[in-house]
Amino acid sequence: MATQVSLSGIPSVRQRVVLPVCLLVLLAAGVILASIGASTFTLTLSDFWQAISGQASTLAAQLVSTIRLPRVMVAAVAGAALAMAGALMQGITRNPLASPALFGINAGAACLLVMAQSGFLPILTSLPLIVVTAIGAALSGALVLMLGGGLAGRIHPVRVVLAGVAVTALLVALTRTLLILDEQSQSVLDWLSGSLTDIGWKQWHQLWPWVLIAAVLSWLLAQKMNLLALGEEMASGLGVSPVRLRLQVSCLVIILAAATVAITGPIAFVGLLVPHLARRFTGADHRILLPVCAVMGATLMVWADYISRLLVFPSETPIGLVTALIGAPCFLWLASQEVKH
Amino acid sequence: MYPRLTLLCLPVVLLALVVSGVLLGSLDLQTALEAGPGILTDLRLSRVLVAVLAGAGLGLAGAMIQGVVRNPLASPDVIGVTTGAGAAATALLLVFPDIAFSWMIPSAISGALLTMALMLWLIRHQGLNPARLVLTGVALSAWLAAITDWLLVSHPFQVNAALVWLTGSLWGRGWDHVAVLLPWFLILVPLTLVMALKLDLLALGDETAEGLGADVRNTRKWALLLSVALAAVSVAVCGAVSFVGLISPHLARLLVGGTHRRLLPATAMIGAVLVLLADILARTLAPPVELPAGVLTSLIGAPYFLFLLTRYRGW
Amino acid sequence: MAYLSIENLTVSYGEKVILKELNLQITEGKITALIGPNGCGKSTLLKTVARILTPKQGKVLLQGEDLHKQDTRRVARQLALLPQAPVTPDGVTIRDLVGYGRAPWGSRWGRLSDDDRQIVQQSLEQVGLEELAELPATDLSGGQRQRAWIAMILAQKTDLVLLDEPTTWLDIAHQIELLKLMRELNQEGKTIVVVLHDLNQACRYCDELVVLKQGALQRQGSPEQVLTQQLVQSVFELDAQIHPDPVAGTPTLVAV
Repeated sequence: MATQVSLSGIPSVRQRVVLPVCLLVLLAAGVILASIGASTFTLTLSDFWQAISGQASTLAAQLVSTIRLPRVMVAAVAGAALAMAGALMQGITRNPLASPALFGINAGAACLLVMAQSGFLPILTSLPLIVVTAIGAALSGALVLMLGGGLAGRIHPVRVVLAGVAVTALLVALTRTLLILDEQSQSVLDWLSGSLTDIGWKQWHQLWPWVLIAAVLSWLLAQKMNLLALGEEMASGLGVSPVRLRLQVSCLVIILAAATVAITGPIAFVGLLVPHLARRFTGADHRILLPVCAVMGATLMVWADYISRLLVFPSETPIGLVTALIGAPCFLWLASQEVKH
Repeated sequence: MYPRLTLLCLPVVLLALVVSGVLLGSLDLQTALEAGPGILTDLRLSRVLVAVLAGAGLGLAGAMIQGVVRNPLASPDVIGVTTGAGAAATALLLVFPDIAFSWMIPSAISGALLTMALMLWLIRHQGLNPARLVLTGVALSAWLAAITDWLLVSHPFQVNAALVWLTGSLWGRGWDHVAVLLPWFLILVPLTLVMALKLDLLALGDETAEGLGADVRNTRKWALLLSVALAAVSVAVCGAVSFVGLISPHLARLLVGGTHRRLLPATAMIGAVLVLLADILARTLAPPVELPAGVLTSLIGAPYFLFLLTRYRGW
Repeated sequence: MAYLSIENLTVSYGEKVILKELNLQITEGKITALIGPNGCGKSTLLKTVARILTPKQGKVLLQGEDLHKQDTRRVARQLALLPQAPVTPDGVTIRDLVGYGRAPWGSRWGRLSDDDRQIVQQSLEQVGLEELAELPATDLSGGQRQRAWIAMILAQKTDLVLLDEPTTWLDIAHQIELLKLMRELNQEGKTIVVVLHDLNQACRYCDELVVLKQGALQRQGSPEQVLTQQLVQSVFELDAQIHPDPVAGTPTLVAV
């Protein structure tokens, strides 16, 4: 049973240059497309330039700068956050299937958020959103790990995932009940699969500081995570406390997932797939892996956002559905790869 | 454990629930009676019968699948069959909004069979390793659920009906549904019961079963087909009422033991009891709002699945 | 005409040929042990006789009739198989389990007649499990569980019994107990074919040895004829001396 992340595939120098360039080009193209594409208005490149240079004179440019741009940027940052969260989780659990969605963390955050908003638990309502989602993420994550057998790499990777699935089913049922009782059933679908509708600059300002802080902190822990990959005993011998590192990283994962869910709702599969994809290009060194994951996650989400609007134009598909449609077959493939080892 | 006594008690419990299902509701009995017999027989009794049939179907389907793959974690919903049936039925409902209900069943069955085929293809190299099977099923259901949701989103005008149906609800089920369901059950359920002994033998391992004169491949094929069909028929009428297929066989095994001759009937009755109970609660917990029965079964079923998971030692 | 006759049998897993054009006769009323090094095809042979595996070529004839062309229920009335690792199901009592041995005879619904019940009771008594009969099968120890499986095979009332390494997983006392039980069955008239790893036990408790190596028959005959220094050397590549067993006088292998 392969519980360990593959250490093979050391990238060549050329790959190190080519990959980031390609990724950044893809990201930029995605941002532009998602900003001006798939619209009932005719938006042009010049509207986009006007919008980002802050001189939106035409109506079209204003549309881009007030509606499209914040949305695209939130998508990018959310994608980066989820991808990094996934990479961190896979790093500390050494479970290739670890990710915020599969381990029930997203569902926990979403459930508590709905509890707070529906006034079901009055105490929650008075707290800031991110605190509420962080509590939910932490509780459900802890529950899944406990039922899955513990934090360390000893546990059976499939068992944790099944625990995550069941906890998610439970939390989704609870969330659904709350939404129905609160007579918001119209938005059930949007809510439970993650959506970018009604995102503005306000949400953007709520999101980016948290993700930035967590990203910097996790990058500082990257070398320690590399040592942990050598096994707990080896890591202790090299002066890294596995328990403390796991706690620190868990906190970062919770911040990343909680901030994202608070803004976009739970979005599946980004956190699972991007780290695997990234590892193919970068190898397992977390110092490179984490930033590449962030850029890849951002790229994927921006494109998913574009596709989500294109898919049934002019109406809009929740972005979480798009990632699930792409992500689930990839997950199947990953699971079957894991069997072969 | 008194298997025979339990087997006799179960119908009594079921009957008691049927009666209370008819009597309980947002209108109290007095008003309901004064409004004419229509409310009790046309609305409630038919709905109760649909719940009983669908529950029995889901329970039987779960027992058959668990018997075939010898896996306590398996059930039609865990391995994605119900989601597949749901996706196919949703597609039909959205493309032809005015189609007669009787068409939903064949479409659900074909969706479920396709899912099963896809599933078998995906695990062709792994055998029926329990944990892998469930993992693949989970991913497959996630994908099919996404497709279903996408279908809903892309047809915003028909969403409401489909959404109610999808979450597993018995809202608005009536005699029409009973009439469509009943023939299917009259064919499928006896076929299932005939398989009882073969399933017993299958539980002893392929080689022993073959040694005792059971045709393992055929038994497996037929049992899977029957179970998929039963699950699909049930899903076609009440949507994905999750976890019933998973927990009913376990409860039945606790009560009457693992011999399928007793297990199958007991599972059918327990499945019926569970869905009926969930439906009654769904109607009466927070009137006038009606919860989907599927949500309630998830609230009970998911913790039970977790319990099974912590006890499962077959990794 | 031999009782069980294997003619020109070739069996393969995919591309890999396990048994190649094997010819073998098994005598009625005897205990025949299949021995040979790991991977020599002895379990494969047993499974092919039990029609778990289908031969690529050749036939297995039981009293002149091809086993692989008969209805599987009919075959199950003539031969019983105890596989190496049978699955013990949850929530089934030992009596239920032994009752499954009546499956090839009884109704297809699984209801047991009074005769069936009596046979089940006799089988339980024969292996000494009648007092534990109402316990769940999963509660048994390894030795008891193996006896329960034997009881199931007894209830099957076949003339031919195939045992695939029945002593694996058992401690030495339970191994001997099981081999003695096997002798008892033989004395009641059953023909037994058994795969055994322990050559000394095979010599002591079996009438005939069949030695296989790389899917081909090496030797067949009584233990005295078969177990020689040269054979052990050529088949197992082991230097050994053969001495008579101090109790039974059968050949015993001692490694050098």
